[in-house]
This record gives sequence, C-alpha cells and structure tokens, in this order.
Amino acid sequence: MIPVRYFLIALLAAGLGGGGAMLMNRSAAVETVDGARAFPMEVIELPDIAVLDGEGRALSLRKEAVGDALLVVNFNFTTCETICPVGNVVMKAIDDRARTEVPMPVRLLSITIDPARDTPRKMREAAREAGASAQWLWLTGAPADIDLLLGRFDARAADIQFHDPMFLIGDARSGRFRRIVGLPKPERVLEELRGFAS
Amino acid sequence: MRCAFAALGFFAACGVATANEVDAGRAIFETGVGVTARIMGMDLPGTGFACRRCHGLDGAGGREGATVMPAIGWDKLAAPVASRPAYTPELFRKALETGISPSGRALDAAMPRYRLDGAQADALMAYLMALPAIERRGIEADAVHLGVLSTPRSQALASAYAGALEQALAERIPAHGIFGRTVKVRPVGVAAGTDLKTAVERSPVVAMIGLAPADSGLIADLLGDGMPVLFPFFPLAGTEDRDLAHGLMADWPAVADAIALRIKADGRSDLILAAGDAGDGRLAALAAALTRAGVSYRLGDDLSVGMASTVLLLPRPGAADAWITRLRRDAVLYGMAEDFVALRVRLNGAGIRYRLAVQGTSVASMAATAQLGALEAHALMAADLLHGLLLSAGRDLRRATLLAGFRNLRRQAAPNLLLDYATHPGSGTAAVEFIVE
Repeated sequence: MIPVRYFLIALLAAGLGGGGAMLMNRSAAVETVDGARAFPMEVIELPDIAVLDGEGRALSLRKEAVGDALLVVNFNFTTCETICPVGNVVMKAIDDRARTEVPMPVRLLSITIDPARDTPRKMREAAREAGASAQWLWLTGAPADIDLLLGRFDARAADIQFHDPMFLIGDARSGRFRRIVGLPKPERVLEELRGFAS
Repeated sequence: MRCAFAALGFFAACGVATANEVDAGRAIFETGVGVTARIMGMDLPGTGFACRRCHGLDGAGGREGATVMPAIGWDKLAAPVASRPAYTPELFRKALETGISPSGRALDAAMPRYRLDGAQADALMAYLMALPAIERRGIEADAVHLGVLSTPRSQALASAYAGALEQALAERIPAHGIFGRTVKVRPVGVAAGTDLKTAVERSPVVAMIGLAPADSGLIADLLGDGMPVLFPFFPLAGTEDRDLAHGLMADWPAVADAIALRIKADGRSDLILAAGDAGDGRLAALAAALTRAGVSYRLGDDLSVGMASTVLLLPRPGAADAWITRLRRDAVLYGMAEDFVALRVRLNGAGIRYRLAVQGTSVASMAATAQLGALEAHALMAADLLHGLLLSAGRDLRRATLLAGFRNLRRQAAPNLLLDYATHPGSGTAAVEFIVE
C-alpha cells in the first residue's frame, strides 16, 4: 500500500491542492475498525473567522480557539438526543486522557451544525452536561461563518437530523487531518494524536 | 417473566404483566432511569441514553446518517428478519447487555450496552409488548377519539369545552372524516375517588385536549402514562415531555424571561422576589431569568414585600389580596395577570403601579378578532391545529405520527399571531404582553 504521505504528495503534484479543503478520494484506503471508517490523511485550511465560545466571547478561530495545539473536532447540535450524546462520550474520554497520554497540548472543538439556534449559552450548558474541561471548546457563531467552517471540514449536513458522527483529528499548523466517520474508540483517536505529536 | 399481551402471540405460557411492570418498563424506555449505559467501556447514567432518544417515542426507529436505529416494538423484535433470527427474552437481554444480536453480530457502536437486572429487563420487554397498543390507543379503523378530561373540579368547563371542540371539529372535517376516520370528542370522566389511570383506560383516547386549570396537577400523571396533553388552558411549565405536551400560550420560562427583561427595561432596582409556593418551579425559573437578564434581586416572603420599591410576586391562589396590603405606596408590582388583574381597582386606589404579564395571548387575540368567548376561541384554534395534525399524520395514524406533525406545524392563529411549533416546540409562541398602570 502506498504510504499516506506519498499519496498526498502525488495529489499535490497533480495540482489538486490549493487553498481550502482538499479532500482525498474517500473510497481509497479506508480503514474500518469497529464500524468507524478512518479516511486517508487530508489537508484542510482553517478559515480566518471569529467564533463564539460558551461564554459568548468572540475568538479568532486560528489564533485563539486553535493556536498551536493538536485538534480533535466533532460536530453536533444541542438539541440532538440521538447520536450526539454518544459522540460526546468519546470526546469526554479523549478530553480526560489526552493531557497525560499525548505529549503535546490537545484542543477539542465541538462545532454546532445548528448555529441559528445554538446560542453560546446553550453551548455552555451542553458543555457542562458533557463534562467538558477548559480545553474542550463548544463553538457557535454567525451562521455564515459556521457554514464556511463546516464547508472547509466537509461537514455540512443537508438535514441536521441526519448527520453522521464525524471526528477530525489533526494539526492545524500543517493542515493535515485524519477524518473518522462513525464512533471511534478513544484509544484510536489518542493513537492518531500521538502520531501527529511525534 | 410475566407477560401481559398474550394477544401478541408472545409468551403465551407466561403469566400476566401488571400495569406496574409496564409502567416501570415505560420509565426505562422513556427516561433510562435506574439503568447504567456502557459506552466505549465507560459506565454512564442511563438517563442520557434512554431507548426512546434513538428509537423514538413509538419505538419505530429511524436513521441518522449511516446509522440505522431499528424498530424495537416487540412485534418487530419477535419476528425474524433476513439479518437476524427472532429475539427471545434471553436474546433480548443478551443484546442489551453485550451488544450481540441474535445473529451473533455486534450491534452498532452507537447502541450503548446496558446494565439492568432481571426485573428491569422484564419490565422493558413488557412495555415493548404494550407499545403497539399504546400507539393506537383511541384509534379505530373508522374513528379517532380525542379526550377532554372531566373531574369534579373541572366538570362545567370540560362539558362546555367538549361540546365546543366537537362543533369546531365538525365545521372543519368532512362527515366522512380524515383518511376514513371520523373524529370524535370523548369526555373522560374521573369521579371523586376514582383512579385517573383507570378512567383513562376505560375511555381510550389518542390525546387529552384542553386540560382545565383546575386539573393542572394531573398533567404529570397523564404524561407519565404516555398520554399526550394538547392545548391545556394553562401555560406549560416548560419541563414537560417535549413530544407529549404542547400548549397554545407562552410557557413559563418564556414568561419568566419576559418579566425579567421588562424589569430591566423599566430600569428598576431594589427588587424583592417572593413566591407563596417555592416548590412549584416558577420561583426558580424567575430567579434564573432575572440572573440571565442581569437584574439583581433579593428573595423575600409575604411579610417582607413592603421592604422594597420593586416587587415581583407569585402569591398562592387566593393570597394576592393579603400580599398587596403590605406593599409600599410607591411600589411597582410585577406579577401575573391571573393573580392580580381582579385586584386592579384596589391597586389603583392605593396608588400602586403594576405591570402584569398576560399569558394566553394567542387565545385572547383570536377571541378578540372573531368576537368569541375564550372557550370557543380556544376550541376553534385547537380544532384548526388538530385538523392539520390529523392530515399530516396520514393514513397510518398513531400517537407518534399525530405528534410528529408538530415539527412543521405553523398556523396564523390571528392576524398578528403566528403559532410556530417548529420554532417554539412546546407552545408555538413565546409572546407575552403586559397590562400596565
């Protein structure tokens, strides 16, 4: 199998890179573990937008919400009662363990896919219910900005009631991200983070 | 295990499940109370992962992205399908605890594994067996029955309302009915000393319409029994079951926010908040709303209401008269119109200014527009909404399909009033007005 980095270089050389999200052919080299599908590494450039945290503070996504930390990103909405709570359990486990099991700072981002209704207060309450630490930010913002962000992550849902659980693990400095669709075991995500840290 | 519903052809050799067992199963299904959910190796309270959240109130399941939530009514589980043999009680419990389906394959990772004891597993199965019948309660091949609860406290209102609702429905729905079902209003009488549950079982209805204020204390029992309560004559507390309870007027959290924002907009300070019954949830909701609005306050009681120039009072029914005798002459009183509107003459005479919140704005607005009494206006509005819900439920009318209509229900109830349950799922509106002096 071709190593992922060569696959990436080959695509860049073929002129398929450029600004914004560059999505790989997701049908290739998909690894399925326990029903969660991990896709080949991809490059995502975070937009230069402001987001709102649970305190209603406007943060620069790149500089303040992300900074130099490794990232774990998932997508949810506060009135979701089906799969989102299960995804949040995965995030909670990563939140609890990353500080001691990953040799680099890790920032977790839960981004709403329902910015029209998810106010910072609702996000804060949801964060509290999920037991989020200070390193796990629950972000909302102007719908147009959030839409742009979801577009970069290829995480727009035509109908928010029917979104797949999705996690992106990566390093915003290099723009490299691993996408996992489904519910990964926390160990799988931590292993991926250690790979980015090394 | 003891099994209730021999008619379903399952557990014919079993005994009879008690109503208590079905109720216990309902509690597990709807709230996850008392069980532990295990997700990714972590033990968590089952309350965050109740069956209903993914499989729906009716257990019919659905799909979210690539994740399929199967139907789990026992009639479905007990039938073999291509992907698995039929569930038995043993296989059902094994699937719950280990995540292994009767086919031997692992269930989706999104399905928690549960820890529950034998009695809890039996109760859950008893409820899953009862669920298809609960979904069709009050629904026959050629008729659907809506209920109006009548107790000794509410008899006069309930009787008049049932007649008004039936007439309003008859004006909207053709004689041949909707999808072949005529729509009937069935009074559900609860005589003094009679059990509410028994009364409801004797008169099966798909939903209870227009619950009277005097019976507001019964809403928890009705909802707890899985009975939808639609368009009560009083505002919802905002804490009721989101699927089963829907009102016609702003719910209590919306009213609390409106009052808090009004006090802030009026620039009032030196505020005392006092309630006659702190246990009814309204005091806590108002306190939270004041905090959200950034309005500082002190908690008081009936004896301390004269110690501030601004008072927000929630007296017990009938106690408002005594409270206002203790107010300062320069006080500004905030409260509910239902508590103080009858005392306006006295308030005016004492020189006390007031801002009284009015709920039921939608009904009042329609009554004024159509020049009707409040009861007739309420019945017309309820009939209009029920007509829309029955149409959207389609031929497969069940409790769940009826209630699903609220997700997209929007009605222009009066020229300036839109009831929009997509935006305000509980009550269709957050509109609150004030009577000001």
